[in-house]
Amino acid sequence: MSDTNLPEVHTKHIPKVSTGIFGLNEVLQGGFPQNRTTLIKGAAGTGKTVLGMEFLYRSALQGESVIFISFEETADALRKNALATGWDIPTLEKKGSFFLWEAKIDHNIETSGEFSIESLLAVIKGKAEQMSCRRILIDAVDVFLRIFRDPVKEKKELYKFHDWLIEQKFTAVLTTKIFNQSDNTFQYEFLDYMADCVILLDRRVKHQRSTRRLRVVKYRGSGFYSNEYPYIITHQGNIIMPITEMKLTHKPLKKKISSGNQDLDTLLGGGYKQGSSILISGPTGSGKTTLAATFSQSSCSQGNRILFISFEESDEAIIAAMVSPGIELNPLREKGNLQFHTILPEALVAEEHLWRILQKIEEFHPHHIIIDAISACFRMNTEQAAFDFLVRLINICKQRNITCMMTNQLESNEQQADFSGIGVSSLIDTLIRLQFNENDKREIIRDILILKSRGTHHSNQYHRYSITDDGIQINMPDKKKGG
Amino acid sequence: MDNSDYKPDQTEKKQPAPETVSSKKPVYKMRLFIAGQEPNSVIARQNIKEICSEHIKEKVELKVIDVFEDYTAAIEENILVAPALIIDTPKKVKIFGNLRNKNKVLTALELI
Repeated sequence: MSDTNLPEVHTKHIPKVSTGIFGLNEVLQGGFPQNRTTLIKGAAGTGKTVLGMEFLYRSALQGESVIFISFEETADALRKNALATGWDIPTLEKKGSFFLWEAKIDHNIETSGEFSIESLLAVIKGKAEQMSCRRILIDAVDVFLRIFRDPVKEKKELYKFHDWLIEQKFTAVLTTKIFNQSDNTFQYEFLDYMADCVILLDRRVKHQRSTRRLRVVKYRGSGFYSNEYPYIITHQGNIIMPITEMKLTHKPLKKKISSGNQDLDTLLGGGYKQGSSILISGPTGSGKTTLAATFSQSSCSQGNRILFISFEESDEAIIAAMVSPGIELNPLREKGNLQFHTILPEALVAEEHLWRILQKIEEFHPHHIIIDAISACFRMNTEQAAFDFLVRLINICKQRNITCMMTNQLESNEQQADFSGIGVSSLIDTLIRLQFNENDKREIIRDILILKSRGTHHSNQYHRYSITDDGIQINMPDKKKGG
Repeated sequence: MDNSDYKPDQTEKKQPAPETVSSKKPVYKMRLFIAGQEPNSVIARQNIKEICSEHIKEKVELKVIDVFEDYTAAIEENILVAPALIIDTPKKVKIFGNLRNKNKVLTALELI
């Protein structure tokens, strides 16, 4: 029943194998097509080989025997690069579950008359039978094809190769280089028609930052997510970030948690909510970090864990700055309830930031995280990257029922057009606005406003507040304190 | 090279005409990689046979390797296509193809 004219019939039943790559199975809705071919294409340096290598490596760890045929890179370079990611290929080779063939082609070779790919097929067949191998990576198939020095012959031989791989029931991944638009982009366009699954890798540089993107171009007989996904190559392998496709399975907000300030709790209609996203906006010096620290102190003292992500200041600087309004963070850090993750936004691209934070979350299991400040996220890369970063991070937190408190620095009081700063307002449950004003005595006065707080009867009025030695003091209407 | 002691390969048994002529001191050592009865492989065998008998009779040691019978040498020598000729002596040269252009082989054998 291998009738490819009826793709619908197979839609729900097409067998797949796990790619072993973080996030890729989600994008491919299960994995690579089993006993079929997958094509990974991209320009030089996009990470085609390392993606294929990870598939083979993870397969081998799962007890599969695998074959890697490299037409371009040397076996030594491949082993070395893999080891840098912690993948020990030689051990698998010794075990007999990994066969790495450096099939480099000497293009100066003499030719006399016609020839075809039979020898390659014979080697694969022989080796696969010996190893009981059904998974294979053909790296840089375009380089191999050039041996024929004739586009028609190249195409014919590749079709033969492809048909043979399928007939032999290999789950095969082929990689091929693509060239710039101006160049001969469609040189190997027929590869797209041939393969059952086609993945395009892209690497682009914007604002001197390099970012990687992965997109599934086609998947015969299967659904797939067609967006472009950022991905990174870390010391743990390839990481695809398909989070935007994840279902919004956010739990309804229930449990109320104290903001650490009784009066603010009153204004909020009882406090923040566990697992909600909270945004505190205001100009510099308005007390955004102080509010976040107030919450941290209160929550950590009750035994909760908070991950405090700072893009602007070191942990020591934050701890020192909070002593003045009477907030002692150091004991909580020493107790292990408060953990800082301080890093300059410029240090990494957005995807890497996200991945590192995700790892921290997995290790530390915080009840709440604080991001101080999201306005700094712009410096990671582009505005779009900053937006993606935040949306993904907020989603990660919502799925795990982690409260996500963010601060956002506004340039001035007037910057009200977009309260949430980077256009994430729809994901924000509680929006707190801090601002400076000048009174008729030419004194600076501070106002706090709960702009929104989902599912609560919150105050909708401005309230005066001041930052004292004893934290933030809000002038509540019934207290009539100063003014 | 480890092919100093010549063993007749299996494909030879199928064909009555001996493809290998060897003297005590072969001057020319060659290996022809073929893919069973694939047409170009058949042509290549015919061509190499003619070259041997016409030019280097009695001085040649030729080994015909069917890659479907023995793929290990193909791995060692990076033979991805068939037919393919490896000349080991006098000078190592690889020639891909059915050897239709005999002059290329003769040049590689330093005969012309």
